[in-house]
Amino acid sequence: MHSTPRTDDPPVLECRDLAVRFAGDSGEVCAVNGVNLTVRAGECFGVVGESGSGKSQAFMAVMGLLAENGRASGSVKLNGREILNAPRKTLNAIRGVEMSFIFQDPMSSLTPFLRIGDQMCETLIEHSKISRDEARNRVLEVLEMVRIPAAKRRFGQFPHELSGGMRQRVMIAQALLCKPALLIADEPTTALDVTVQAEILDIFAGLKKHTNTAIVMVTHDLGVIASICDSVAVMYAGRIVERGAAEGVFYDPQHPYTRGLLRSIPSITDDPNADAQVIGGQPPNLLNLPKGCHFRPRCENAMAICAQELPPLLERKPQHFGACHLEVTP
Amino acid sequence: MCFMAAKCGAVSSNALFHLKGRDAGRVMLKLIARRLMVAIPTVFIIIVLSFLIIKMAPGGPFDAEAEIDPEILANLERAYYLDRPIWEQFWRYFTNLLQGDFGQSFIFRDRSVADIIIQGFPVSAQIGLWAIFIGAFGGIALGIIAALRKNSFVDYGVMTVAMTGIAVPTFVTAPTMALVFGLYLGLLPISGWGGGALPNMILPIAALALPKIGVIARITRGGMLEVLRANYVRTARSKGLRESIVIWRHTLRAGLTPVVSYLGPAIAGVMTGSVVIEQIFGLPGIGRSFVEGAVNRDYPVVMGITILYATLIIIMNLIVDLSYRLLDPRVEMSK
Amino acid sequence: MTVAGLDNDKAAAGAKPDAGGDSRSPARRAFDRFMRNKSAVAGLIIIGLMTVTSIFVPILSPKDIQTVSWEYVLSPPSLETGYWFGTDVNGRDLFVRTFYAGRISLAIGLLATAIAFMIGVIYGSISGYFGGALDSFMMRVCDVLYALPTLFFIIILVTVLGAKNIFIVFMCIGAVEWLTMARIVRGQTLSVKQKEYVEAAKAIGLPTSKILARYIVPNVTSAVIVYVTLLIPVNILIESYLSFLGLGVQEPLTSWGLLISQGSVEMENAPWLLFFPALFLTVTLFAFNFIGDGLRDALDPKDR
Ligand SMILES: Nc1ncnc2c1ncn2[C@@H]1O[C@H](COP(=O)(O)OP(=O)(O)O)[C@@H](O)[C@H]1O
Ligand SMILES: [Mg+2]
Repeated sequence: MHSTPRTDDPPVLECRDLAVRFAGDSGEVCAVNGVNLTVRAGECFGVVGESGSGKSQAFMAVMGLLAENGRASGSVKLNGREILNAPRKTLNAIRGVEMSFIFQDPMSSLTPFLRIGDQMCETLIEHSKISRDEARNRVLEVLEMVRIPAAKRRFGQFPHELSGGMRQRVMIAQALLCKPALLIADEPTTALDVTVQAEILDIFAGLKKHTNTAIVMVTHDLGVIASICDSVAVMYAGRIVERGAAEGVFYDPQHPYTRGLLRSIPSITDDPNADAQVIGGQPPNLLNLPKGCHFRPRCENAMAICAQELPPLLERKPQHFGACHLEVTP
Repeated sequence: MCFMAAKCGAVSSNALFHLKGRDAGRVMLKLIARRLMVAIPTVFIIIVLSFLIIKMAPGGPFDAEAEIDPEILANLERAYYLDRPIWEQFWRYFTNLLQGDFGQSFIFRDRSVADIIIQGFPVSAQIGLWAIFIGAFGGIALGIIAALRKNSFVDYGVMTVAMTGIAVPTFVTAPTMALVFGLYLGLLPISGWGGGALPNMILPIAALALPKIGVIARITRGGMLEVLRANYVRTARSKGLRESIVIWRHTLRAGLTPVVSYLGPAIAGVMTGSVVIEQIFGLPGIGRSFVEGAVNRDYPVVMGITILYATLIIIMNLIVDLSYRLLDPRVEMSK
Repeated sequence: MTVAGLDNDKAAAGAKPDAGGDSRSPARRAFDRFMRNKSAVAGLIIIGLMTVTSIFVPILSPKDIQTVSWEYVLSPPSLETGYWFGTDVNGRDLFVRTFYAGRISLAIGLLATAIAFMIGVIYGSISGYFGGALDSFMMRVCDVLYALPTLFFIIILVTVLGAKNIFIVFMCIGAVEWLTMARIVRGQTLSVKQKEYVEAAKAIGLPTSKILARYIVPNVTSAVIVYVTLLIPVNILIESYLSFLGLGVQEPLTSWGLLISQGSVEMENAPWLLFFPALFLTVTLFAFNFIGDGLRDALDPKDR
């Protein structure tokens, strides 16, 4: 399948015990809790989970872009350097240069009243002593890299003159301008048409092949994971419940939630009229999480202990972690 | 007044077409033409409306002069065509209006309404424009500072000042300032125009500017907070841009759009004079002429000033519409 | 290949701090938010006190609004003389006069707002409900009236109608200040009339007037509540402008605007005549603005 990166490469991104809390009207919400993960150069790391499970906020914390009512704790190291809650000045020297973020909604994520070219050039000019002409050339080069036709013309256009797919390409190109070591893409295909989704994924596949950039791919689409990710973390209620190589997670899931996710993929061989199986029960309420395992109310295998103790994330297979009280399946 | 913020419509952002180069100028002209096609009937209706309201009024302009000889009264009425059918009066008034003739004042019989406006308007407009200029500058600056330091001490301070500017009426601030700076400290004249001397203008301008600062600060803060939440501002931050660039380049334009909507009619408003300020400081502006006209039933003066005001408002709104186009390339040009 | 049920928006909403785990109703939550806003509550208390005192001022003081005392002409505020706020040129007690003025000012502010509210809701809901040509016509009328200067228009109306009594004053203010209300209500009506219960009412053949009265109006009024609250101080202010210019409330009645106008004439030798009415008017305007802001924040918390 994919060329798996060597595990002894130095990590590009290393999160230890990352937590994100939001102060709210009716109490504090813990949107992300105890997240540990490591992403290496050249690796594509998938993060999957249902809406509200804390995927976006975990990486917002990495970028230092949490909303005002949010607080992050734990440790985040980028190329070995602690960056969590670093001062704005330090972060600004890193953001857009060493790590870039691609937002979910390309329609609203570009400044509507600035020309595409100006928005892109300003990133380069901010971070390097570079003339406008040089910046322009680099921008055109990257626009062509993400296969934007007639890049020169796009340069002078406003965001609203571009289709959703084109805007997402611009977002990707913008993120790649300074050749970052880490690229975080938050559901880059969710807002797009199916055909466009495939084209965008193609760009990521190309990136993976031709550069050494570490990619974090946040998604709720297991298809995306299957097509380009080397390893996966499954998130539920702000925690990672399963983590491992993509193949392992797909073929030998260690958590009932992951199994539920996999079952709910409509497969081609299925009767097309039959609905895909959906995981039953309510999504968790972060303000009022059940004691013990957070997935217990929806779990088909729940046991007595599940109501008592939160299962720790343990290595159940080599390099394959799961957080479940069930015995390791042989 | 604070409720003004509610009147400021947001720019429609769903219009997804854009024009370039040569076309833009043509479209602009077309837009102006289309707006004028609405504006001209509007002014006409306002003329008819104020004409009718005034004609329906019980009592004539010469009622006050009790001992007036019936024969003289009849002559007077003939001189002002008050004995003719109403539609004829209107037609006469309207055709004269088109030639720039607003008629004669009933009270100051040797003065035409146009004269009164020509003399009073520069006074009112000068005071008003200075006040709105100071109000816009001060208000925008304070509003931005408050928005950037949301929920901080600074924010509460600025908003308290703004609220004070709004809630304390000008006819309280104006006499108070006159009392303090004029009578107690003896720094500034408290009354009169002095041919437009700077010291005479300071107090009226200050009194008029204070509430404008308050309103504009509030509108600015609201607009900026709205935009600071926008996804594209987050994108700008994610690119590692300095905060100053994020604010100046990525938020100000959209954040100040509501201020522009407010400024249009507000400029028209201050230019036609603050009735109260002119009264308090004894300024020979058209606001005072208007009140005197209303009290004395000097209808030609009242109508003339009303029509002037309505026309100004319509022009200012047109300018606001056009400037949306400059502020946001998405704005629909077709409406 | 998207996982069914995963991109469920309700899931996210369920976890939002505002919704999940909070059994209070939306109205209750808004109320709680309002009560936590200190300045809004303070505003409410001030208006309450002001209203009660204005109503019961005859009990609080034996003096009448017109009681003249020639020994105490322009006497400064003092606890000994019993003239807490001092007296005016005619030796009338300013304390009593300020609260009597408060009665009139508050009453005119409220009544004018009520008139504007009624016209605005009726006009806006009819325009929005019937739509089509009637709607465009009615909105055009609004546009035209918008181009008329509010204060100018009210001054014209007041002088044209001649009789300077408070009835005319608040009617005129109300008759001019309904435009924005009508626009908000119209917009709201457009969305409410799509709702199932309105469709259902139409289907069972309820007459239009009943549908409007029973389903549309109650559902659109909540949208203007903030605007209504903020319109009260505006109308109080307009009344005092008129009275200040001598076009509003007339002696022997009085209002804050009139008192301020009389006070500013005497401000050199009797500054208290300006101070007390101005203070009361200003505090009232503040209070209403705080209440309005508090309501807005409570009903639409994102603005905070
Ligand atoms: N500013 C905020 N204040 C309070 N709660 C928030 C805030 N932003 C996000 N959340 C909550 O954090 C949780 C995780 O959100 P997110 O990471 O965006 O989910 P997703 O996995 O869909 O990307 C959600 O329940 C959301 O309601
Ligand atoms: Mg997300």
